[in-house]
Amino acid sequence: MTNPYIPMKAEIVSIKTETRDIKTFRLKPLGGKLKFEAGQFVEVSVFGVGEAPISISSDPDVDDYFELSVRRVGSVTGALFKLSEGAIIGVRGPYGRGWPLKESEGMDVLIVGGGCGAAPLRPAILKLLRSRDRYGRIELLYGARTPSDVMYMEEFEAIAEGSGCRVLLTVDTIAPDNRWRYSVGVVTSLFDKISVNPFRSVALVCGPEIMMMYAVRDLLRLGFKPENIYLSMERRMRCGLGFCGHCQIGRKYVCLDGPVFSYSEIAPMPDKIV
Amino acid sequence: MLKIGLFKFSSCSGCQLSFLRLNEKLLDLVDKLDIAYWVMVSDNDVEDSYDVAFVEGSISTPEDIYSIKDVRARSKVLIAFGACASFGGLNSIRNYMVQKDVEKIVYGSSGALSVKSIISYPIDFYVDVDIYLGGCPPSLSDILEVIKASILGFKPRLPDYPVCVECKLSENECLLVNGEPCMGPIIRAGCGALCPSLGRTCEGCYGPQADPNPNSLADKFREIGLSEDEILCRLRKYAGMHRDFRGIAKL
Amino acid sequence: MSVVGSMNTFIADLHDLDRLVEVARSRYSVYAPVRRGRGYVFSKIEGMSDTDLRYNRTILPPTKIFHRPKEVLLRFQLADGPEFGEVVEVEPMMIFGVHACDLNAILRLDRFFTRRFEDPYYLARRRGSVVVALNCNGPRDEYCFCASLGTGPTVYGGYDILLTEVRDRMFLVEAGSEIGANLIDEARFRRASMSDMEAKKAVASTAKREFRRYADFRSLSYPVIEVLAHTVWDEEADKCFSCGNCSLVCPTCYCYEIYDTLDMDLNSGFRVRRLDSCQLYGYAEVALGGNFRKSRKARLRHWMVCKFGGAAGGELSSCVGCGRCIFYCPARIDITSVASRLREAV
Ligand SMILES: Cc1cc2nc3c(=O)[nH]c(=O)nc-3n(C[C@H](O)[C@H](O)[C@H](O)COP(=O)(O)OP(=O)(O)OC[C@H]3O[C@@H](n4cnc5c(N)ncnc54)[C@H](O)[C@@H]3O)c2cc1C
Ligand code: SF4
Ligand code: SF4
Ligand code: SF4
Ligand code: SF4
Repeated sequence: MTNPYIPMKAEIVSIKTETRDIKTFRLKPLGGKLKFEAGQFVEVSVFGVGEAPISISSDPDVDDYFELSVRRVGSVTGALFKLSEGAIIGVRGPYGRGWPLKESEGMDVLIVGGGCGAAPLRPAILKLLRSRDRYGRIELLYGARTPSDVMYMEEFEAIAEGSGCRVLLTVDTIAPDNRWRYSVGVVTSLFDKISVNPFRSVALVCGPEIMMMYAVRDLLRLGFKPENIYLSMERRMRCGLGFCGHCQIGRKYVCLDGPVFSYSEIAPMPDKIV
Repeated sequence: MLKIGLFKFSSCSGCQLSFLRLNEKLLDLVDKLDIAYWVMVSDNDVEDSYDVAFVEGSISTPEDIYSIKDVRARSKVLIAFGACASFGGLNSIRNYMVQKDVEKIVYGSSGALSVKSIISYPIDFYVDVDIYLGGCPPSLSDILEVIKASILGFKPRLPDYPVCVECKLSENECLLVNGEPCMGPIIRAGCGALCPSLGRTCEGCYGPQADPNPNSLADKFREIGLSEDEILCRLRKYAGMHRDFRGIAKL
Repeated sequence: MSVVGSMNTFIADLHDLDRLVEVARSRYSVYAPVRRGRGYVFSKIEGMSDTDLRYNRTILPPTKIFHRPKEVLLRFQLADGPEFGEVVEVEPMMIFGVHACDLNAILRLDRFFTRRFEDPYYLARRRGSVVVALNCNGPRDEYCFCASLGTGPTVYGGYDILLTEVRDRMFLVEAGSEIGANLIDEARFRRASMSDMEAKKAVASTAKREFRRYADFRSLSYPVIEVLAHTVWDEEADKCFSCGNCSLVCPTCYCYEIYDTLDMDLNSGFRVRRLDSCQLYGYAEVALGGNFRKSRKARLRHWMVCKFGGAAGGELSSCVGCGRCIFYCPARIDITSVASRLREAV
């Protein structure tokens, strides 16, 4: 019996600073590969500090490395930020149910991200663009607090350059002297500009839960079906294996049944914001 | 090197004694710890800055107010060390009496006229506190956790759940259920359920747990026959000044 | 587990059972209910004189032996590393005198800990264990309500050996597995008579009629709106201490916290798991102080709905009617009376 609590070692091969509190760590798994689907996550160990669930943010079709985009908020994420290239950490996983990319073939896809919520959406975007012809229109809406909080900026701009995916960016506020070329306002204010057909679209949404609440409300109003709105949920999580209990939302375990849920699955559950 | 200072205000020095009791446990850390100021142990002068200040005692004289602000200014991390510093502690029982009467009891009618005492407040009434270490005195394991975490620059892992958790995990029969006035349900763990494990009720020296329900405990105490006075005494004993208790402790 | 025919039925008094314990002790650590103060705890015994088979219930349930309240998951070392390795503590164990409710809880946890992944710590201890179950002749006290949930008072499977007190301190002994049969064989019990076997049937049929406490938890589940919105939660939350006693003593509560702890050298350390409770404020707290069950009411409701079988653990974390949470709640919150209030609404 293999012990699912024992992590695999992974080496930090490079670190990219995305924003003042988000870094992307490129990791090389030592002794094995990590095969994953877009939207899945791993449990990251910094020994002596603890573990934290982090979404895999890299291309699922590349398997000699994987990336994690981490926001510094506390103990484990803080300890990760102190590490440099060459450091060894532990990872176990991948866990959870990712985005319904196969099921969405033939439909339009609206991707809505807020803040660090772009991390689990990135593998989905890369995957969708790779099999571009299987989908209808694809649009990406992303919002952050200020221009310096926007992650993956060059990548988003590159995607916007290419054909195949419209990219709309926005920030909540800008400083008076800022040369921000995109919209200003919360991410839902971009909904006026979308061109996907709500009646045959899926929406893939990830961000702070309060943002997801407003996004869902507006998407429903636009005509999206509750079962076609997918949300990646975040809860306190310890084991990732469906045991420790912390990530429950009503009848659901985020680690096993999610982290990606359709809105219709999650809507009736208590103790949540969306 | 982590530069530590230990400071004392109105207190019995019990918390410092606990620090002393760490003794050989601290040997492993000699090359990582510099105890730069500790009145009880050495007569070093106060230095300009400390990485971590352990502050024992409540603030109960006008001079104390000046000194605690001074310690705060010199310290990167300030720890309220023990019940007195964190919540007022035993010293705060006198806040419920007329100050003149208290002074008379303590110093006699003729004595120590120069002593001016004010309401005994926890240190966070005057300065910002980074870490609270409740307990009268704090447990050695909590102190060690704070020292280790400070050296490594982590947030220390201190329980915020109630004493009942440690009590049940030690498989003690519940005193409160059996009609004894245990404070365990509303008091923060950290002591390892020391008193209940010895068959004695929790007296509350660790202060309030993360989400205490003192009103319900007062009802429970009434149900098992405590008088209103006895209930007030129990709620005031260590942490009556804490915002979670002061309403019901009737400050 | 092969079921051995009913011919393998024996009768034993406490002296005979003492022989069984002695035989078992050569291979297993034997755990049984032992008096501690006003309560009982499952702990190691050397003979029948250490235990009391008329016990009402233990403070912590016997599931603690497999799912430990606190245990080390792995050991690590930071220098030149990190290096790490698992720590699984196992000893062959016999759990002696397990009531039907607690046995059913063990069987639920067996399924829970093999649901999608396997928990090697639980399973290593559980798979090497032998269970001697004990039928109840009726409720052990006014807190028991297994009868209405179908989880007692009589045991119907999942044991290696089953005891039924058919006359004063005379026990009918049945084997439920090969291992059980062999142990009984070695303990050299007398065969039971027809009347002993009849007596067992009589015990089983009278036992379930003596219960005074009832519960019906069906369809009291997430996301039933009548359950979620009921005012009983506000009333009970006013009393509740968020102390966690109810779930810490519950035999089907499995939730745990995981954390790292460093030795004094700041180099080596352990990853530990410790029983947690959804009644505690910190349970659903996330980074930066966010909390999805900030209110006591939400926590109390989640705990109870979980025990109704309606939360994410499903029937595997549902109540078996042992009565512990009612007895050990300092606020006298009673799952059976809350359920009957809710029943009126659904
Ligand atoms: C499925 C999933 C995917 C995620 N993906 C990402 C991602 O891609 N990028 C990202 O940045 N984040 C992601 N997160 C969020 C991330 O997991 C959290 O931000 C992270 O766990 C914070 O850990 P921390 O130790 O740094 O924070 P902390 O705040 O230190 O710890 C988190 C929790 O642990 C408890 N805790 C910590 N220390 C202590 C202590 N000393 N005592 C008691 N309790 C303590 C706290 O109560 C807190 O609630 C994801 C979360 C989930 C569930
Ligand atoms: S004895 Fe006190 S601390 Fe222990 S469970 Fe009872 S109330 Fe809680
Ligand atoms: S919910 Fe209460 S009565 Fe039911 S199994 Fe758990 S402790 Fe026993
Ligand atoms: S979530 Fe369920 S199993 Fe976990 S502590 Fe709460 S009641 Fe028990
Ligand atoms: S229901 Fe009772 S035992 Fe459970 S947390 Fe509330 S007061 Fe404590």
